[in-house]
Amino acid sequence: MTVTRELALAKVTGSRPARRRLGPAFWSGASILGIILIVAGWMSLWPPYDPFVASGPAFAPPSLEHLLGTDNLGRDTFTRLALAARTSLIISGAAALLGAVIGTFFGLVAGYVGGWVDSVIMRVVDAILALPAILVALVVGVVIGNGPWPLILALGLVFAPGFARVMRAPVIALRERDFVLAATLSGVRPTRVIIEHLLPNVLTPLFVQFASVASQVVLIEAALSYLGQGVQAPEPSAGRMISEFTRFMQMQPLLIILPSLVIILLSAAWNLLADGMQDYLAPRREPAFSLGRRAQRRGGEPTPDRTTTSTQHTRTEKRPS
Amino acid sequence: MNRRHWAGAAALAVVTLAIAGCTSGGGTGTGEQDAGEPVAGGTLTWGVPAEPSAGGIDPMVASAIAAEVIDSIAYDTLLTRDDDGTVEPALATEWDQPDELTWVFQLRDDVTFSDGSPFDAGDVVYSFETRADGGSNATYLSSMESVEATGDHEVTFRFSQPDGTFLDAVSARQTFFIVSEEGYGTATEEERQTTTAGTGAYQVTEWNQGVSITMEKNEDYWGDEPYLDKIVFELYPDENTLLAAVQQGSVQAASFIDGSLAQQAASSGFTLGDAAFRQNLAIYINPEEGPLADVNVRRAFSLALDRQALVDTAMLGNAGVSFVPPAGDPGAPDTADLPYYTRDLDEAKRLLEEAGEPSPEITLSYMGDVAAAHHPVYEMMQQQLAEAGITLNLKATPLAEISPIFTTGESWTDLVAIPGSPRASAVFYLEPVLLEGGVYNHWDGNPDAEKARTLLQQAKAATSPEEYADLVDQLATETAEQVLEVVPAAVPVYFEVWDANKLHGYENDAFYSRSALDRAWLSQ
Repeated sequence: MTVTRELALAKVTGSRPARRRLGPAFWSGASILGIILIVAGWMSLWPPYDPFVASGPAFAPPSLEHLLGTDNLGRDTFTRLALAARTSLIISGAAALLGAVIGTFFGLVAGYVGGWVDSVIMRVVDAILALPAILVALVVGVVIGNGPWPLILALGLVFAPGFARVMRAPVIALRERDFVLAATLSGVRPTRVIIEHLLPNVLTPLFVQFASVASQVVLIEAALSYLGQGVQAPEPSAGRMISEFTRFMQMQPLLIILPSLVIILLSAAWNLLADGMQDYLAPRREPAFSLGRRAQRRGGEPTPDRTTTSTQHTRTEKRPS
Repeated sequence: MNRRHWAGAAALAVVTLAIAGCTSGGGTGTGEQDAGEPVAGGTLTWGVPAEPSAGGIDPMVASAIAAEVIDSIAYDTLLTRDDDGTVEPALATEWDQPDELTWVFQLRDDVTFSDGSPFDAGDVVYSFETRADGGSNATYLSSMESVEATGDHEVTFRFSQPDGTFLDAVSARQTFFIVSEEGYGTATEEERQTTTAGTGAYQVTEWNQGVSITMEKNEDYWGDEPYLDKIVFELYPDENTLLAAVQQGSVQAASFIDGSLAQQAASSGFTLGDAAFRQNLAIYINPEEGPLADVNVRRAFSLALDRQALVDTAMLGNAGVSFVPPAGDPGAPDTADLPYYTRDLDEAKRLLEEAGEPSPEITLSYMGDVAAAHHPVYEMMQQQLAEAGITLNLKATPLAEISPIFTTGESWTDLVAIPGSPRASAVFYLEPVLLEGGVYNHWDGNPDAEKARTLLQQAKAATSPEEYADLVDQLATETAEQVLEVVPAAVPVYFEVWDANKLHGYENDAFYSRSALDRAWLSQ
């Protein structure tokens, strides 16, 4: 069972909390991702052109036939970009998911068991956090080869400690709460306590962390592919497109502007999603679009209706509240 | 972000746009105008994409192309060649072959090295002996028995067998540099690698590693006095930056590896030299295991390639259809006559069937972090081979890891693409592939390479230029017949561009030696 402190507080104060809505940040992030997903899915299932074979003259400008023009080998840029976005989206989602699964497991165990188990796990986490993600990904690439799967594995492992840390903090607080004690006293096994009572209460920071890690993975994947160590030719990849087409920057600038836009869009979409969820789940933090409100707040008291909820379980690794 | 931040960001954007606006106007020259009489003096700034690496600019040791270019300006050779390949005198005035095993050279007597020491036969003997004793290209001298000073200005070479390559090698501008026994012999390793003391028109006086190499006029030069006071080769490792430097006028001349960037420089008003294709995009084969151990698979591979399309589309026309030796070499074969060289998909599929491998999977390693201009070739090869049922997997490997694939064979892939370097004579291109101890040689004991190896040895021992040319031709045909090496295209070593409004009297040569700098001058 989960405890919604808001409801409890609402009963005490005698009024229902103001209904919270998903803000513009969430919706813009989600819709960008949704559109990319739809376009990429469409391009994978029914591509208008073979993404690996020339389908027109080289360096053709955008036209009705080729919406975003063609590249140096005459391949359709739109098809290739859609596939690049798909690859990037899959890698970022899968790596963040892998990190979330591993990190959550260790975070829950460390937080719930405590003692030396906690110390050992968290010291290992500290050690891994010290490693630069891009370096680890490069080493993994050298050891087991390049390509999407090694990348997912490497980045999943690199980002897992962040999840472990984010999970552990709220679990430590929850561990002492009455409902957990009650469950433990009634003889519920620890695994069940963790899965049924603790996990549902820490899902919120997990989602936020997930989206923010995915946005970082997009950038790292692009950087590695730019260096030639990520997605391999001829599989399209936004990062590699930038490095390949820098030489044609003056002849056809679109060739590097478009993949850059794809990277920016993907990374921004994940970030917006993270911000939006943060706003929704942890309203005490300022929403992403708060220019007006901030000015208003400088003069007066903080608005009381946004401080009534629990915050202890909404920390994220990136932004402690 | 508060208002101040927004204002800051806006200001930054405005400044960026302003800078962009200022810089896009450069390089609008319209070719050479009437430049008038040559003027002495001035510093020429030349942008280069690479600087000498291992061995620095030591003329006996360095093998990097960037070092060869510098050395060929600072040092001279006994003979030289014009763009058509005709041998011309340089430090030697006359040369004679009294019998098949002997060469006699008469040397100039009016030459001094830039350190002041006089040039005589002893320096030539010292230079050749030092090179034969472990210098770069020492294999070119494998049949040289002795070199002696038979007079103050006369040198005699004796050979153990006829050497069909000797005249080519002696007259190649980047090969047998002559150093001073006194100067070079007593210099420390560091001095040899960072400065020059040759007989050439300009000498290296300063090398700021990673920044620039400065060459100054040699006051003791034996030829006509050069006009330029100084030449500074500025390093731009990123060729896109080099292009920007050219367009902004930061450099008056530049050499590009990437032809499409050189074309862009040309389209903004710079003169683009007509470059000879002297560098093969060679792909070496693993004949020991995998599908390519079968000659029919190799033939099918070769037949499935449309080389003209690779040149026209993947290289944007900045390359030539080529085999070994490369298209720009005097000994280059006519590729239209070579077996298994013109695309024939049906025949390729038939050969694959015959080999019992209708859809082989082949992995190609290439340098993923350098030579981006060549990458489209490999991607397009993949498309072409797929049409014949061959799956080509591309494996981008960092530069540092590419040669161990061959030398240690640790992570053998079926094919390894390593762009070759220009060589002094036609057979030297295949030496590393076929001869015992060659770095790319994995054909030892392989019957497919037997005949080619014999032909190579016969060519090296050819007694006349005609016999040599004939054997080189047979060797190319046999190499294509057995598909001992794959060559998708040949490229120039460098594409040279220069601002003809500022740099006058310059023309690039077929050997990328920039020898015309001796006569070039800058408008003041």
